[in-house]
Amino acid sequence: MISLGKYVVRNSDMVWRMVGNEAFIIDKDGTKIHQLNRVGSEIWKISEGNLTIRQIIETICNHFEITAEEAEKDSVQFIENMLTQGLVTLTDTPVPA
Amino acid sequence: MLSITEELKQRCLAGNIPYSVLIELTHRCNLACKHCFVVPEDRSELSADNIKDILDQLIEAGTFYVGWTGGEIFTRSDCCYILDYAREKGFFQILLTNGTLIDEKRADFIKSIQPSGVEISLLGATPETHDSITQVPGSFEKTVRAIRMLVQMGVDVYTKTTLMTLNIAEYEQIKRLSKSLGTIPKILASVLPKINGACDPQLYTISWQERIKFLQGESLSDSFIPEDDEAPSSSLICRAGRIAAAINPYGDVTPCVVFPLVLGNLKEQNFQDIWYNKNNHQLKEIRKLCESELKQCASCKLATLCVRCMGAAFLEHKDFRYPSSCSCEEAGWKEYQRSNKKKENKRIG
Repeated sequence: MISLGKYVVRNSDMVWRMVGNEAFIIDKDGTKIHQLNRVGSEIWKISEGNLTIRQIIETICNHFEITAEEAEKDSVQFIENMLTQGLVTLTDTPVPA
Repeated sequence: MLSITEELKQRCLAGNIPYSVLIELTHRCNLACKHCFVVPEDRSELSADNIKDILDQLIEAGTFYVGWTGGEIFTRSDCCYILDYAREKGFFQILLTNGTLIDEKRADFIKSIQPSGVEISLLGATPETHDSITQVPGSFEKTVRAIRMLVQMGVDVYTKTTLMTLNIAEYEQIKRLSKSLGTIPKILASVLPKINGACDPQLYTISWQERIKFLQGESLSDSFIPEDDEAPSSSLICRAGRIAAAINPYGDVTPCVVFPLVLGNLKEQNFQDIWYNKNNHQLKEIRKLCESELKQCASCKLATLCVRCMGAAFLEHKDFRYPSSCSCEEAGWKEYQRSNKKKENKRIG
């Protein structure tokens, strides 16, 4: 189980754009494309290295008007998935802008 | 070259999201190619700050992919500065260049920005032929030198050749040279009119007899525009004005670099205001265009073989619904080849 106090930062090697409400993320080689749903896209957008997982969960909870438990479950699962795919990394301290 | 999934393409098409934008950095060039369609205007070109702002707007608009063309992009002293900004902002980039101004320093820079590809114009297999088209002695050597440097550095390089009466006899040699240099040849047999509609370059269009003599059984590229891997082998309606756009050096937004219908100017308006302008009737017509509206093309027996260029049609007729002579010629050639192959197969069978 990942620590909720970690900061989440996007992999800067990815090229991504919002197409409608969904983020499409393409790796630099152009060989892999990830399509995120609305919640995933929101998490992706705010993963700039200045928010902890706990803070991301709170943001998602407020943004989508879902319960804290749902927000935590969805967010953690999503972040773990993104970690596995190499789309994000976790840091102990915030990443300078 | 970049390939996008069908899903992303369909999403972009549904929303007219300009996935790919070709930006003419300048109309200045250090060569004077005889077939060139560019016509420089007496207007001030976009500054680097203008272009940076445009790139920021393109991110908001959903653009993944920027092609840089000209003129010759490296005649701009701020070209590398602009390209580096695009890299920093996260765009896939392709560079279209004649290569003559690429020295070691520029080659290193190009490698550092990791472009999806570099297209370099190769107009002959010999200095005599290439330089006679560019009208600049020594251009062939510089172009080949640039190609070698970039390939050695691991950059994906494509050579781009427009076949004309001036170089058709070297077709096989050009192909061989391109491959021997470690590049992928992109060879077209169509010559477009100038962007102001003047037909002078088309004087160099190869004849049918030359096609038969030199191109029998050969498969050529269909498009002048950098395409992704999933470009269709036939299409009566291209994606200009839908998921593809162009911006000229003066800030005019057009559906495509060879389709000079000005939709608006970025010195006066924001990109999305131009691109989604509900009051632009011509843009609406382009986007709702369907095959049945295409004068003559829809009922043409070559329709299934045709990769129709709306821009070329517009240049010739001032109406994008008409056929274009280059597209007709190419479709006719494909049909000729196909029926020859059938005859050959029957004979062997």
